[in-house]
Amino acid sequence: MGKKNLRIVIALFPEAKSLIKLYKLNEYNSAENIFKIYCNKNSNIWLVISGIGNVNCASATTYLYLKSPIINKNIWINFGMGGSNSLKVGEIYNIKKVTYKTRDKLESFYTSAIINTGLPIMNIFSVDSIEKRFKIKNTIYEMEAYGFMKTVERFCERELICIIKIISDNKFQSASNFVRKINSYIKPNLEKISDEIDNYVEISKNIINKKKIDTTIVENKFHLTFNNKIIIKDLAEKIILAYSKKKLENLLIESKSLDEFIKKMRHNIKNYKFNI
Amino acid sequence: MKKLIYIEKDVKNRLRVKNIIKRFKDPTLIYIDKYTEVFNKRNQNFVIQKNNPAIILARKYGNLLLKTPKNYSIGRENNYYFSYMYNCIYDCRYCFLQGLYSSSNLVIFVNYDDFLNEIKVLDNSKIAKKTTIFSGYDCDSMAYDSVTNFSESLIKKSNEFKNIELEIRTKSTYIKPLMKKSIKNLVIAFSFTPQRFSSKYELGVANLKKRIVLLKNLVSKGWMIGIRLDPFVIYHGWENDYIELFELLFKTIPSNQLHSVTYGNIRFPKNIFVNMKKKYPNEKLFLKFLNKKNNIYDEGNGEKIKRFCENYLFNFVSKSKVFCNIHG
Repeated sequence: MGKKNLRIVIALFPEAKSLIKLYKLNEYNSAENIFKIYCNKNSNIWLVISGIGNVNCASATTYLYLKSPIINKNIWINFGMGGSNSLKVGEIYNIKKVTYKTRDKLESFYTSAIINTGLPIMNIFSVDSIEKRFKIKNTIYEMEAYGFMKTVERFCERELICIIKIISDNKFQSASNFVRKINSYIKPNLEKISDEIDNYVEISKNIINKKKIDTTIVENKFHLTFNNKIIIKDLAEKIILAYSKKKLENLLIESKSLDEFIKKMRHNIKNYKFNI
Repeated sequence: MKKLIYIEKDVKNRLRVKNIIKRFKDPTLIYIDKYTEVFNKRNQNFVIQKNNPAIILARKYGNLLLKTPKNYSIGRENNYYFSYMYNCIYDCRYCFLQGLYSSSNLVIFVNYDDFLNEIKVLDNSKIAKKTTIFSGYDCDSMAYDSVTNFSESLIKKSNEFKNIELEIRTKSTYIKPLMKKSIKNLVIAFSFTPQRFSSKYELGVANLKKRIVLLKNLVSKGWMIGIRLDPFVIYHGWENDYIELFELLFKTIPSNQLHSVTYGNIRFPKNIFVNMKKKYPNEKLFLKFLNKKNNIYDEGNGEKIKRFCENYLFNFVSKSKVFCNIHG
């Protein structure tokens, strides 16, 4: 298992406690201290406590995005509790669809379709006040997923978005003593949560990053305008991809001017023979 | 891996939808309003989705038959295409679909009859005798047929088409539905690149030997065959590989059953090329795409390919059956 880059958004501290312990997170002190943030020693796993509700969740998600390192392999997770018509209290679900009713229409959001073998799958109907009627069957009612999705979609690919919910109440069992009971809902599911998150980490390894090109060696020899820098970067990338970094260095050594260097790179790319 | 199937609520009760669902063991079903809400969103990772593409079952409204790009022809004046599917189960590194869509999930438009009725209307029109309709532009026509069962509907209806010509384009070896009998105005077209290239850049596609065997089977049933060398790929040693490929293909297909051969260079509109490069930034195949003519990216190999085809292809195939799709 490689390095996990996790960004976790949770409404209440009691819901987060087990994950804070699991990932060995410590409180992160920021000057603004708008939302409480936790992170691990290596700064690759971060968690924010958002407070209840979609607006809080959207704000906290943005806050965490700005406070933590931005990596395209970051997995964004919303974890928490939800109510349901008839799903059993304590059951855990991976969410694939989040629906929210705005004034005039239903808005729907979708998470990764790839991970669907670990936890059972369920949909969410996100609401702004506590739900007690649970009109729609086989759906989880909760108060954060819409705010989370609406925000996280702006900077994270769907395949790396994960929502996990545990049933805290249903038509037959109310959410009284909710905070006291949370631990008993999460503890038996902690390993499943960790395994499911690891599935996302595995998937994130498929993300292809562009090889980064450092133009310093060119800048040490020639003065580069902003425009030239862009041209050099593009050509240097191609030379390294087609041949090697050594080839790029040799072309640079052989060139007496920047024009000559650019010409040589273009010539080599033109004459490159694509080999299978 | 378990399959996730999104289903538009409007089509959920159709028999065809139920039959498609039955093909998968314990699939996860998610009901949606419109396929676009899942398929069109920008924040998707095409490359990751390729590992286990979800299926989206939908209905297509309007624009069922579309005009092909200029020069996309196998002899007739008017050319249209239709796509009962978006995306493909194969993973060809040069495929323009990678740059066209933000998702590699497979959209299946289950209202096959609407497509076929539209074709029927065209078949009754004045231009029918000068018209070819292509299937396999935004998808591979046969690759997913064991799930979609589209060919069965098409074959049934094809007998009613008297004037138009139809082409099913594929790289697939799934030809079971075509083994009953051939249909006069239906061309089965196979896309080929040399084996050495195909095994590395056309992931999921069966090897050449297998495809040659099925070509023989189709020939024995009397089908008219099209050979598509589009894209025609240039790499170190391509000439010998292509000569070998020509020999193998045209030895297998008797000239009276060879409908047509087309060839063309790899070319992309700018926006599609940019998207593809973003998805595979370290892909050497795209390295030499430097020319930008009319917003089209290509390798500038058009003349080379044309000369080669004129020198070698015409040894095997009558000139009148060869169509060039070279850009630039």
